[in-house]
Amino acid sequence: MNPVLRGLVVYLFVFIIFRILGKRSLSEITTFDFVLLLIISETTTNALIGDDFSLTACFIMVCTLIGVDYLFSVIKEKVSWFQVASEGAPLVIVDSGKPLKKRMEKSKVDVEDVMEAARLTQGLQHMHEIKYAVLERDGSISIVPMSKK
Amino acid sequence: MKGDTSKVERVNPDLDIDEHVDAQEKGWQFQAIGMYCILVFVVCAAVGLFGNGFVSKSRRFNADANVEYQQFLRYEAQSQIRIQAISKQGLTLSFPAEYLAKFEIVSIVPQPDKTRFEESRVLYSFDGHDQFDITIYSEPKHLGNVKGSLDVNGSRFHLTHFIFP
Repeated sequence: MNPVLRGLVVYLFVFIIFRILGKRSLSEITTFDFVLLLIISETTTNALIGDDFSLTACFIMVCTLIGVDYLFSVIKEKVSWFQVASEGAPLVIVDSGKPLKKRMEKSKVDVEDVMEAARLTQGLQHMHEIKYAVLERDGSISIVPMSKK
Repeated sequence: MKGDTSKVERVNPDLDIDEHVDAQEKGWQFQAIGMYCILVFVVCAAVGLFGNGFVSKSRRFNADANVEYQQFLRYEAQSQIRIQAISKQGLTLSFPAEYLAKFEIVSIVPQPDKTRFEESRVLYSFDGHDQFDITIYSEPKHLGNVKGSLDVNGSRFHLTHFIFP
């Protein structure tokens, strides 16, 4: 198969797989996730280059992957719905100290994840101290504390 | 939200963000469908729909010969055709040259004693008598449907493959 086509197909396949896994899939990598990621990258490499170890094939593949990625970033910038479709959008998961259960369930986030982010970033101890918790596009949780009176 | 537990909560936070909740809901639906698709894909692969499994394994036989091969193959992934036959005066296998052009023959075990080309077919002759057990290892170099035939001492077996990219 043509290396450009190969690169394009593999890029789109990996892109769709990670979209299916959701934004939380890579935000908190455990040791096992890291090993799994290495295995996936190794498997993908074999499919990308096949038995063609020439420098030309390497250059074609690198240029194809970077080119497609650049093209996608340009489209994301120009077409807002494509950015939302490909990366999602920020989502409020705690509103005035109340966890929004349905949103958390759909996003595969639990109260422990929110409290961990609250402790790590703001030093908060309780849910009622959180005004907003937002699940960002990259899968991290940002915390807005209740204003002190 | 009363009476509708499938919809997510609607909030109006005092934050400068655009949540695109409807798009997020479509995204979650896509993820759920996607996970089912991955599951179906893995099950299909496990039973051999993409090669190396019982769905893919095919067997053709007559009184003197038995041919086993994989119907579903993957591009450049090695597969094998196993021929078991009974013959008292040597064995001759032949493939159409057009069929062999779509494969790279990696090895034939045991090696044929003679190879020749005759009437657009490649013939492999094996000396010996009684029972023959021959395995041909090959790699597909073509995509899609491939049809061919294998003659075992003149008896024709039709081979059909689908080669995945």
